[in-house]
Amino acid sequence: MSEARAFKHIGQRTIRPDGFDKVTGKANYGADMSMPGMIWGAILRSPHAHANILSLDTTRAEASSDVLAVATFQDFPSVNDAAAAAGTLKSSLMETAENILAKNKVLYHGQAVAAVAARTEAAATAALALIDVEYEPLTPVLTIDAAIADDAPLLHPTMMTQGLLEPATEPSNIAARMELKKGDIEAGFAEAEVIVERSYNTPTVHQGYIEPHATVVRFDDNGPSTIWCPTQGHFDVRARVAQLLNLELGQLKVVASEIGGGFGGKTTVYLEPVALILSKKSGRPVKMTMTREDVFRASGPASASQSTIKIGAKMDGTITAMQATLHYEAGAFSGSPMGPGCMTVFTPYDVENLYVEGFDVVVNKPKVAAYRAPGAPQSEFAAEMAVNELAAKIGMDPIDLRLKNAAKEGTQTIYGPKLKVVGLEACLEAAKNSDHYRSSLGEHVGRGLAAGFWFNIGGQSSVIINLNPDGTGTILEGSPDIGGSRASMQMMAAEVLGIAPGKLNPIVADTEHVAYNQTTGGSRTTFATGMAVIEAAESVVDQLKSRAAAMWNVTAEQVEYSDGVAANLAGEDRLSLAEICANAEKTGGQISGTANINARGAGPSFAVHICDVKVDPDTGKTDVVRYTAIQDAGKAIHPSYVEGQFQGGAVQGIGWALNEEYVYSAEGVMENAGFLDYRIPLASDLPPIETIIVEVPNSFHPFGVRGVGETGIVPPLAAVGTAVAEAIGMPVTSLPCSPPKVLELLLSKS
Amino acid sequence: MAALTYHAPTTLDEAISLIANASLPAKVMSGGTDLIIQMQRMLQTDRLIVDVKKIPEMTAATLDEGGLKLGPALCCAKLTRRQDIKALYPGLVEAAYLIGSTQVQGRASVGGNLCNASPAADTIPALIANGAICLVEGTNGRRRVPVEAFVTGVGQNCLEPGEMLASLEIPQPLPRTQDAYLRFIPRTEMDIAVAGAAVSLTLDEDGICTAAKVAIGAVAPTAIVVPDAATALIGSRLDETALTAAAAAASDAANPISDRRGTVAFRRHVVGVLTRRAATLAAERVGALR
Amino acid sequence: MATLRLSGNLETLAGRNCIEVTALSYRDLLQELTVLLPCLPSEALTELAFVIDGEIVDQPFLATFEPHSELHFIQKIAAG
Repeated sequence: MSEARAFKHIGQRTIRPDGFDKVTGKANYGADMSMPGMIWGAILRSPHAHANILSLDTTRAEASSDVLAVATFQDFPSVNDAAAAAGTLKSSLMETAENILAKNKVLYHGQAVAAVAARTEAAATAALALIDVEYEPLTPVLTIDAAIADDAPLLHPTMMTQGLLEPATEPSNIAARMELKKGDIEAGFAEAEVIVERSYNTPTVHQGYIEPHATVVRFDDNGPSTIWCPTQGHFDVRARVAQLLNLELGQLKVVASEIGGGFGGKTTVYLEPVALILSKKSGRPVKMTMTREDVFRASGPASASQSTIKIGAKMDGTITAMQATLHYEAGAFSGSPMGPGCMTVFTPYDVENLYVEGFDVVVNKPKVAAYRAPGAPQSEFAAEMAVNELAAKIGMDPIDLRLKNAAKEGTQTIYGPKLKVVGLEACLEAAKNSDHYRSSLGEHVGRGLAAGFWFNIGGQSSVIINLNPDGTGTILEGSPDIGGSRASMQMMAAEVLGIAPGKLNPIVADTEHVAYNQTTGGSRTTFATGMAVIEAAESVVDQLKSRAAAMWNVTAEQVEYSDGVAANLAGEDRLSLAEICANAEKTGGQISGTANINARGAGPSFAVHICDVKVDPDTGKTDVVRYTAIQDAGKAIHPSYVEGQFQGGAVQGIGWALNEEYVYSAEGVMENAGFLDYRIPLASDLPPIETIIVEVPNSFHPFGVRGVGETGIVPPLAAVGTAVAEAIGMPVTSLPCSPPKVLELLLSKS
Repeated sequence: MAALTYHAPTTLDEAISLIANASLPAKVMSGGTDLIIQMQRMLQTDRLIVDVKKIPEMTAATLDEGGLKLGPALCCAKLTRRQDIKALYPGLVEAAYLIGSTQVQGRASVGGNLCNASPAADTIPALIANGAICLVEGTNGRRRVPVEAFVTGVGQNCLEPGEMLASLEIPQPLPRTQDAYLRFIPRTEMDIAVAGAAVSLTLDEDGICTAAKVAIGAVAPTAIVVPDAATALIGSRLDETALTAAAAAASDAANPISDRRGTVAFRRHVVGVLTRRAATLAAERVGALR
Repeated sequence: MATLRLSGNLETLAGRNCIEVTALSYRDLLQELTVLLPCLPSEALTELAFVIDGEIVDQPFLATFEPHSELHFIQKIAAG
């Protein structure tokens, strides 16, 4: 790629194609769909956080004239057949099934136990009372400490810790252990002149997407069954439902509705398989929706964590050793993002000696799901807090300390590869030169700064560009648009084709109209699907050239195409894209381009955030008074949406740092399952989030793009935490910095 | 399905007759911003709703030399736009302005906030600080109840079957008197008080406090009067000693619980801070009077 | 010879953090490792992403590399 390349559309701030429908209410989200003859499904949820199911009797529900179908775990053919009996079933499939409808044990309050379908939503809800369940309550395990205690009640009595040096001999609540190392950690600490060591914890938090899960499903015997739902990956919904219900992929069609946020939380299935079972049994389309309360109690939040960080350094700021012990709550079933947490924790630093040990711990809370850079905010919070403490201890500016140790091209990461060209140093320099960092601080105001890293991924994307006879067209892609990606696809295709972006309508096609696409996640869409769009558009350009050549009776090599116009190099002839399309009928039929790729070379994105908070010394209330997010985008296709991603990540991270947390009773019941008491920041709570887009191009992408969606949630936790610590003059080790906790720190000081 | 019967009478007598003669559990509704949410949890029960917003005196607000006669069903949005009322009772009007969102304030009312009897209701401490009297009408006639005696527990009020809150009478403030209400929430809006404090006070020409009333909310099952806080302020120039004593009295009077919104220690401390700040603000307002 | 670097649990299993390989493709590499490092179960490797000179390859089946390449296996990154 050429860095000096002049773009016509890339980098502009166009109007997003989906915007008008969204602001006028025309856009159709999950719960907006209805079908003729449709009935409603409802879920019976566990009243216990931990209990054996002694009996589950649906006889009375099935006998009710209101009830058209009942579903339980026994309705999953895939987990009840010979494979399950033989023990050869993949455990992840079994756990997915048990999380959707409990088998013989409930592992969190709100876990789905059974479902019914009835003619109305109210009748379905009322019919849940006709299902008889006998529970044997067990002691709930609600924290990492409780889960790893010697005498802890076991969630899964046969679960053995994976990844131990010696194979486990006793079951425990630790699902897995991971170890990463580089250099000689002992030697690194021996070399150190100063050591910082501290433990930190973060709470269970939710992605807080504004649209609750919802689905409308119609089972068809004679053709593909249809699933309509808001999801980040309709192809993966198809795959999971097909696996659970023993269907061929061709027997399912999944349509991604408009989506009201996901942030990783809509990368799995909850209602869809249940609705399909109910639809099959009743012969009717079935609609199911979650309430906000259901979303909090029974969809995947992000892991709570406990981390211990130890850093050794010389007095000149050279870090000689970094060590971390990380515990992540997985919720009811194994599978926290402990792995990426271990891999990311020290990646912003080029340090010789590193050691990281991670543990995946099950507790009686909902099974966690991905949340924006899964695993990274928790571990990097701890690491960045400790680095800031080190900076204070040796009297060094936190940016200078980071610049001295910054990861750069060639840095050997703890997880394996050496980094290619990355933008951390550029972000640190931009932070240092920012108006914000140079500004002075008022009374009771503290400033925090933190860096953040996320890998980003590539993967499979498939795109079809169809041109119409008048030169307009469609871009069929399969990546649900959760952050303005349709606008970016339009711009990238327009750039290659040399036409106005508005001439092309970008469409998130269903699973039948475009080949497989990986889920929208891992900050991959603008990078990977964008790459497919570029390739498909380049294929269209090749065809345009050969069609123009056919019109002029020359060879394609004699045609040059730029700015939407083909030129005959052998003469004065010119044909615009629209004119070539108008003649397509005569030159071989209509024009379309396809690309099916498995994108490699995703470029990591680093960020640096600066946060000023003002703490009320009498109440502990913390207000963010100024905030700047600086991040490497590689190349910003649509700067407004890149800034939107920076700001969104910052705001979610600020919420995580200041007020968001699951509050549990001793019985394991979440006590704040609603937006009133689960306190996401309001627009009025925050200042404008200032942004600086750094562009260090990713050499593997034709336009230099790096994913930007996730990194922005990584730095805020420590930026806010450090700012609070500065403002109150006390160490902060526990999030959220809610007023009662900050006031307690303030009062303990005086 | 359960039956819901709805009436919207246009006179007080009609409304009282409806609730007194109801064969179903009857609920008086003004804005309904609390009631409709509660009804969603009681879908299986037959009930009668008597909407009182169409009764003219229920949504009127008149000021005369006796003070303010406030229709209990007047929506907060209309109340908070009344500059004449705000000039006399700025704290009460601010309390009304804190309820819900702009949209909710188009429906929510001070009377509804009072009858709903949430421990965290914003307008109740402000009504108490201003010495408000509740005019209760029923089939057995009319009675007058001081607002601090109206709420009897969490979600409980003193209304008997067949009675309703017909008016709120808020006395004309003494000269050189102002009030203030402050609450603590972790956000800026759209939240419920973790603690609240209202102070009304009178200063003489020398700046000495000659009368005061202090009420606190969200720190006990009901909003409570704190006479010791008022005593601490009266006779002082609101100096550090007086303010500290008033804050301590409010903290001592608090009887809070720990829940998802705050801890006992936090609420107890913060209600004192709010009392001190509300007293200071009210005094500043007196100072700003011409 | 390309260099395969092993970290984390793979290093523990293999008892070393680095090995030289003659293979020039992913498929040949897996074959070679069954001989060089029989303690590394190939099922464990095929579940991992592959890294060639810092470039992460999620589906390396057809991947090839150079004699001086540096190679790694890493955990696949979850999507958020």
